[in-house]
Amino acid sequence: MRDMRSKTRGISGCFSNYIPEEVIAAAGFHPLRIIGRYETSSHHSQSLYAPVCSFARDIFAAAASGAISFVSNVIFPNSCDSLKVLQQMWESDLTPPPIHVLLHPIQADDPSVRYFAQQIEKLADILKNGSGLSFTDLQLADHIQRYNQTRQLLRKLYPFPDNKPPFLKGSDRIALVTAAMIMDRDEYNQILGQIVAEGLSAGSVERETGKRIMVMGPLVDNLQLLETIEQLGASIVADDVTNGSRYFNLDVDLDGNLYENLAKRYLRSGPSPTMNTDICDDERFFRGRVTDLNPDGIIFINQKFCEPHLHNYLAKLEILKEMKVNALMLEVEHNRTAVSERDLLRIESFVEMLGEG
Amino acid sequence: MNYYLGIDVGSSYIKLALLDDAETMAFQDVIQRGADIDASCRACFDEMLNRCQIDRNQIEGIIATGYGRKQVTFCDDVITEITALAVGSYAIDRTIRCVIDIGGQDSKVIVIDQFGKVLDFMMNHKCSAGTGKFLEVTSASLGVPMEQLGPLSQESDKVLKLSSICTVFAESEIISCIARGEKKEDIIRALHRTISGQVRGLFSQINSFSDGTIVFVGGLALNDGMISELSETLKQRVLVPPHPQFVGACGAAIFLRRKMEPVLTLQGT
Amino acid sequence: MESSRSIRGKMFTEHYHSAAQARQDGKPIAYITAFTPVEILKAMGLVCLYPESYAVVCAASNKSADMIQASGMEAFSQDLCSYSLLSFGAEHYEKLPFQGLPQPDMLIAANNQCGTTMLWFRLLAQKKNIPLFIIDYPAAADDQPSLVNYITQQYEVLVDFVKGHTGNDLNTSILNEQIERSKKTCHLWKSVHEVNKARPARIEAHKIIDALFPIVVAKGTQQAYDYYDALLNEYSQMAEQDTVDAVRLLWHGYPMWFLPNKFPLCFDDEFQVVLNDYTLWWSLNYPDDSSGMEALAAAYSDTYLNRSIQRKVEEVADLIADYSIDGVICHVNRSCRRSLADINPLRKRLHQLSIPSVTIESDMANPSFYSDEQVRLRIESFRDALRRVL
Repeated sequence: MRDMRSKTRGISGCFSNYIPEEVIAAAGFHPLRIIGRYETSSHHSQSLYAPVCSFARDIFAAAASGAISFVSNVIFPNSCDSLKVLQQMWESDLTPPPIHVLLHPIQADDPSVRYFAQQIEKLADILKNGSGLSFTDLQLADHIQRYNQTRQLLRKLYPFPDNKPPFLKGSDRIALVTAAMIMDRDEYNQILGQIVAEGLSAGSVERETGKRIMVMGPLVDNLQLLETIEQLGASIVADDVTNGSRYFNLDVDLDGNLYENLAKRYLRSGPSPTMNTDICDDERFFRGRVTDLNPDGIIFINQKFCEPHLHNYLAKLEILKEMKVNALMLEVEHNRTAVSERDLLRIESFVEMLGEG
Repeated sequence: MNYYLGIDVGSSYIKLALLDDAETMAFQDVIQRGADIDASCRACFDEMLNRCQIDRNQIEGIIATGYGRKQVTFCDDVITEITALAVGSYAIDRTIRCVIDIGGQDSKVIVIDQFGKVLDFMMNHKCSAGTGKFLEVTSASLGVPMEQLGPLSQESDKVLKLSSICTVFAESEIISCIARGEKKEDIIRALHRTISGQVRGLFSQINSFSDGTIVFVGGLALNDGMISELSETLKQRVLVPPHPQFVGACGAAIFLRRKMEPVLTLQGT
Repeated sequence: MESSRSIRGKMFTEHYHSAAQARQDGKPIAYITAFTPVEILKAMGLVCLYPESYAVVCAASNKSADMIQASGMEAFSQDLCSYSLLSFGAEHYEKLPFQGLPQPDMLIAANNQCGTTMLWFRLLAQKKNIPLFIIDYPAAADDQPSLVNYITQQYEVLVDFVKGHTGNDLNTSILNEQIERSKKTCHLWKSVHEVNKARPARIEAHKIIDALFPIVVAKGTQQAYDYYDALLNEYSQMAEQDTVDAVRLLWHGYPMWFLPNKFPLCFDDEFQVVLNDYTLWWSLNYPDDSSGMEALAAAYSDTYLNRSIQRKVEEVADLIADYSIDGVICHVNRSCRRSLADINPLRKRLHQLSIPSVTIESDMANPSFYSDEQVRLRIESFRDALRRVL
């Protein structure tokens, strides 16, 4: 991060997949997804009232402990109320860096795209003022291409929709996507390009040694949990998580108004629990995905008190019961890396149960 | 005669069930779980060998289940208690389609099919509401030992409603009830109803159970008051086997025996 | 003039009976959230029902525990909004007040109070397999022209949506009539509260809460206007109470609907809640300088819960000054995540103003999160602190 600060105009801490990283990069900042665990003083985590989600509480504790003081600014989406509470408490209770809220619509129709395009342009102006670095459309397009390249490369890691056995196990794929949210983009693309080239040239590798599982949820940055799932006899063959397949769907179009194209891409990159996608389309997409993938089971990994993903779980559970696909929901606390005994039992019992099939 | 030993390491107690080739119970015991689980299990194991007058090499296999299963170093295999309870319950009665286990620190509902295979399971995951711990803490505030809860609650003739599911809040609420002059038996019955309500909450998340026998196992199944409240809450009579606290350990032993059976048959040919 | 009590009684009964009648008469019914622009929907012939308001009726009828159990989601009662749990419970519970709400033809929600409304209504739409429309009101947006433009475009889509499902057109004159009446009724409602600016206060806040119903479910009606007009008249003529001027308290946030007096029992002539700012959330600001859809966009995007923290805190600070408040009790309502952000900044501001405050953690409609003992203790301690300070 120190390196990053010296190479750029500073670091923009951001949340969610709705913040256009290419705009941040064009303004000279390094976009850094605020994830992972930080050194914190434990008493700060009580400052946000339950039932704010455990991710928000943990990040607040990190901010209160000064662990995130290296960022030059923070950009919030307005995706959910827990993040809203985090943003407002950060501003009122702590001495924050400049905080910007990017108002993104909950729908992806044309009025929403137009409004979001205006908001993105507004964010661009704020960031330009902050960095003192202006950029042209051409320069923005250049950054968009770099991020599109990331998306294209990441899509090659995932077998879906081809369903060929992936050359990387699931926890490694998610780890790679997570790395994209942190690293310098050019360096990342270079390394990822090598990994993809090596993987594809090695041909199909039979990696599905365990029960075929799809994981679903918000940010799953506890890679130890994913590895534990695999160690307990499951293969994570697909995911629908924030730092997984939801990160790289769709590229940004380079023809026409770039801000509108960014708005389109970010709003239309696929169903998400924080968006009001058409319910029938959402269900159709989900059923199709589950049918094509044919997993043995689905594990939902939700942050404790995460409202959107709990509602998503309840909605999807109805569909999965009808499709006779087994599901398990784990509720995790963001500030804990070690997998709890209860969750170990749940995962093990779930895999055992699938094993008897 | 050969034997199979199942060890169920729960949060409060360790249960041992020794079965013979015919899956008949040869020995059972329950001890308080000490700080060193492995040492506690070994001590109980040695005691068992002595009391049953059997040799170590007559034990074909040892399997552990329960939360502490991985800490039993001298076992040959481990399974989760979900599977152990399913196998154990099915062995009792093949009409059983649902297993309810209320333990010291968690409660589970397990649905099995006509072959004893686990179809679905739910566990409480928030806190101690709906577990033996809830009853332990709240009964302590009443000054009533756990073993007297069942008989005392059967004397209740009033439906008292407690609104708190949180153990800490429930304690405060009990103090208010006592101050108001509510009878202990009515309070205990209400506590049983609260736990049953939590189990009902787990039930409501399971779609795969619609019909069939429900069995209630675990330590709390020794509490007659709990049995009647659970039946009333679920609107269905629940079956309680003899020795309900050993169903997990038995199920594990049965699982092991059947797993080893082909190997043993081959050895015998 | 008909008494307010009489008008309210009639409105209450009529609202639920006419809802049932609407189903029989084949009129299109929509479930909507508290701050959906009902004026548009009424102008298109929709019968609008409020599951949140109905949840309040159920909670006040002591049905929360049974209905949450009936919802099939009681295992998630720590996570889900208790209004939503009660709405799911109403689908399966038999002994409902007024025999329950009739089934809707569509659901229309707005996210200008919280993000939960969208999640709840999506789940409800999936379960009922009926159409859903969500209006997006970005929170704390400071760019009014583009915000109003974005919202009015959504209103156009909403009109198409309703027409598509009912065949009804938007009647512009009814729309304008509704808006005009809503505006006047909101002013009246605010004035009703203002009788308590006087010392001593004329009426305890929990009695004002009893008057909330019409502005929630019948804002644009003449009946609602007449009701508040009658109420204001009655309050204004009310003789000053003989009691010693009580310590004046503000209850910040949601009431506890399951309590008989909506607030914990410990209030008496010495301490009085003279204002509950939650009820003022329904006093929307319809702008004078715009009309029609634009006025609705401005009013509904500026609900209390949709404002920035700074504005919310200053608004409460102004109320403290206007109503001569001596102390504040903040209800930390676990069902409403968005409102949780207010508490610490508000208490900081109160500290700057030297106004003592206390928090009470509970829930608006689920009594299992309310501990009478703990609340009493906290309030007693607060009273002692106030006595020492004042």
